[in-house]
Amino acid sequence: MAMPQHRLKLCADHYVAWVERRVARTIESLGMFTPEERLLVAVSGGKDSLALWEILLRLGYQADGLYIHLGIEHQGYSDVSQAHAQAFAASRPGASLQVVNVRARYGRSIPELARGRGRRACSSCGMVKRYIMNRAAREGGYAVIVTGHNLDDEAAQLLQNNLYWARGYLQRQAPVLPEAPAGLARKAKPLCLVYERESAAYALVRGIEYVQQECPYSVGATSIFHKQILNDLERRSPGTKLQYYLGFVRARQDGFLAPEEQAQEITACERCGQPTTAGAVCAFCRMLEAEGHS
Amino acid sequence: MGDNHTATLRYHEQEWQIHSGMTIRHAIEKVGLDPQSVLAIREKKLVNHQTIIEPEDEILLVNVISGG
Repeated sequence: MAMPQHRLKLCADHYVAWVERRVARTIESLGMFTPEERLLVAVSGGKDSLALWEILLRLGYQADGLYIHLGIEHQGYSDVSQAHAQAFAASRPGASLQVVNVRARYGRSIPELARGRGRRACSSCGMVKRYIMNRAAREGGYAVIVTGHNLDDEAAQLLQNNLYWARGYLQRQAPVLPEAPAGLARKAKPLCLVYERESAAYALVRGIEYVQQECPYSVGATSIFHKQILNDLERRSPGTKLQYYLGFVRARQDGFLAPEEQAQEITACERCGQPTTAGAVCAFCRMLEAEGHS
Repeated sequence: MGDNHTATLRYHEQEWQIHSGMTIRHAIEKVGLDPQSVLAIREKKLVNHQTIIEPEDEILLVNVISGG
């Protein structure tokens, strides 16, 4: 594996060891979690989340998986993704996977909920996944929700936030977000310094079978366009993505971003008890009530 | 399969017959893809983009850019 961004060329065995050391150092240096804490890994069946779960298990962390079946039927996307997550868990001793089926539990799939709200699927998907992840973490007694966001994801998000100077989003973009009042679990992104192609290569070298097809709703996504822009920069100057994101993380640590003057108040939802900034009733419960469910 | 100087490049549903003797990176660029966005697999093993393509090679390209 050639990595001009790190001035490294490694054979397969040394490559996987290098990725695992890099993730271990990221977890420690950014204070994400400790070996004593229980982790809930959000797995999609894709390369990043399964690679992350593999790494965490190999590093000895107590990492259980959570798969959220979104009910996306195009080419069996959700079923295929779930099958990959389950096959992964079944082949790793001690790996426990919890599956939440959105339609079975809440009466509607993500595409149906989005149609009911008159919004894009991605908007509803993000909100529903955050809700289910936090609820599963609380109910299961997990200290941290861990997601497979990689460096390209984070750099593309940072570029979007920079382009529009979205100050609220910039203040909340972080490799680790501490737990907050009313039961909002800590969130961490241990792959945040791992390039997307490094994560994919890790999965391939380790023989991890992951879903190759893309979510049908991601076609034409702005995040892909921003990743392509960053790849153009990276081609001209290897390491640009890493410096861009790492510079932001260090600036955060040095206090470059002032705390929000009027931080949103987090309270417990009157209906479900989950944390919310949306007032008395959380956005998730309001969505279900509008659909005639509760 | 083409003559014994060609190799096959596959990406999703697409397939190209290409000349052997060039690097995988060159072949990726030649078919209009971004080398940054794909990894190359030959005989079920990840191979470097600087690898020279041999006659009758079958190279599978895997997308590494996810959206969402």
